[in-house]
Amino acid sequence: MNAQQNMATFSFLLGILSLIMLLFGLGLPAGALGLIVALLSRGKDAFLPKAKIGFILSLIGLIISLVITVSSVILIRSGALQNSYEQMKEMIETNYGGSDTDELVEQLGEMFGITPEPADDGGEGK
Amino acid sequence: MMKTSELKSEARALMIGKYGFFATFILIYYVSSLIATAIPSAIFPGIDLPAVNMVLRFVLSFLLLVIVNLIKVGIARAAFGTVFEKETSLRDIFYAFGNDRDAFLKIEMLLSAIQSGISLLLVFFEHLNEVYSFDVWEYYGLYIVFSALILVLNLAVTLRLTFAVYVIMDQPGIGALPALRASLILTKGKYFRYLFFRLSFAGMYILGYLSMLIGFLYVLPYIETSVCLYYKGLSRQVC
Repeated sequence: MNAQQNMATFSFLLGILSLIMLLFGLGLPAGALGLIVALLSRGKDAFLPKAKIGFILSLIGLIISLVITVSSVILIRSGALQNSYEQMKEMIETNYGGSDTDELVEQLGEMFGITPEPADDGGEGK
Repeated sequence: MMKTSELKSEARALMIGKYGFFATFILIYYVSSLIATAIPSAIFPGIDLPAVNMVLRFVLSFLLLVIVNLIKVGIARAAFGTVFEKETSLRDIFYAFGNDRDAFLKIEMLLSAIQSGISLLLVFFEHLNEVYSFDVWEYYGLYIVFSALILVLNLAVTLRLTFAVYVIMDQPGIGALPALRASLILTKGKYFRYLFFRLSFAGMYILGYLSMLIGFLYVLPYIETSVCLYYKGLSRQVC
């Protein structure tokens, strides 16, 4: 019974952790682990109260993480982030300016899987 | 024979308080798997290898897979001890190296050969990638699909032989062939029931992967104990 209580408490903590970790984009592993521990803590009986709360919190954390992950993938794949990227590039250049920002902007683009549009040089090729 | 849900709840009840003990087994199994995967790639690096090196790499991978599978027998032994209330210790992780070594070796060589043969599907996948030049998302998406396919195929093909290790633990000295035969007899006419039982753990596997493999510290012992309970039920029924 003591070990069962420990597992229930652990799943409860993992449930809370999965919600906190959502802020850092790491809710998925904590949520999945919380679900596993909650489910296995049952033994032959029904859920202990703490395990039940842990199960619900972990499930919420897991679902939100999955929604964020899947929607991010869809957004990147569809190219919908291209406009945001261009806006961000413009904003950085306006506020900070200079050629040093180009590298940073390119890195951000690589991170989001976006190829920057070639700069309009008014047809004056080098 | 108990229902699937009853077997699972029985396994959960048996495992309460034993996950810490099993975690050591699983960690040793993880580390050995990691080393077994890394060694062939380190000795024969790259993809475009000469045919001889490719064959040598495949043979080396196979031999290391046999060793890893022999270590996995240790997890089965711990589950066997839990289900049949036999004494178990951490030394049991190397159970297959010290007890009925020849029998375990023959069985694991057979299972590893099947496993290696099926995993050649990944070579076919890499060939498809060369022909169609998948982008990053297509590559990883299809890689996951192929890996899942390999897991299910491996399970479906080796399913009727999986009880052989338990037969040897139950009747030491029986030998590899009689154990394999006994496993086939035990599962005769029950293939699909047992297949669905094994596939019913798919959700747990997915959660295990989503938890960055940490969840397998809980999931693998639970599944192994459930399978051992299934064996116990079948062997009682047949006897």
